[in-house]
Amino acid sequence: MKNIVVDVLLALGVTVQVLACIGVLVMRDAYQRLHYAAAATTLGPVAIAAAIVVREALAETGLEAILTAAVLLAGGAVLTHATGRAARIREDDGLVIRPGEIEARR
Amino acid sequence: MSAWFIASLALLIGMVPLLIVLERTDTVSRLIALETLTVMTALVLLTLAEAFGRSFYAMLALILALTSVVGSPVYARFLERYL
Repeated sequence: MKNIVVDVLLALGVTVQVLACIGVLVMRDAYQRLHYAAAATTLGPVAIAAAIVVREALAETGLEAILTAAVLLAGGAVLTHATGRAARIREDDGLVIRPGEIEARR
Repeated sequence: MSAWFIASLALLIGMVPLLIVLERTDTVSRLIALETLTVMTALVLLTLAEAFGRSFYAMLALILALTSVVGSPVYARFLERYL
């Protein structure tokens, strides 16, 4: 039973990561790519860390896996914000949204 | 060949789309691909730690995650103003 849970979590994590990478490739601009890059820091690392913890319990590797997933989870939000901000400033030299700009992007 | 080793290989193959993004797109998209590559590399190290039974690889994954969280915002900041 434990092996099945580990395999399911591992498959889930790897699938999410690979789909996120494909999403980064197929999206048309940086803002859309950011959605997939952010997804790659959430569910995939947590699922893989959970698989390791189920297998190893809280041994050394299990603790390091939890810490790695936590750092990626917390850092992913920061990275996404910083990169989106950089994209916006490079594009328009500011962060103010002009009237009608959102509608024009759709 | 264990499930962990297969997972490592799948994650490595999953990096190929990111390498294409690095090669073909604009500067900010390249930074996004680089950040995602770092996450993928950390996960490859985690799965390899289980595949080979070496916890040292998991420590490398943790260090890589920590340095990427510090380093990537610096790249983003430079992209805002200077590059």
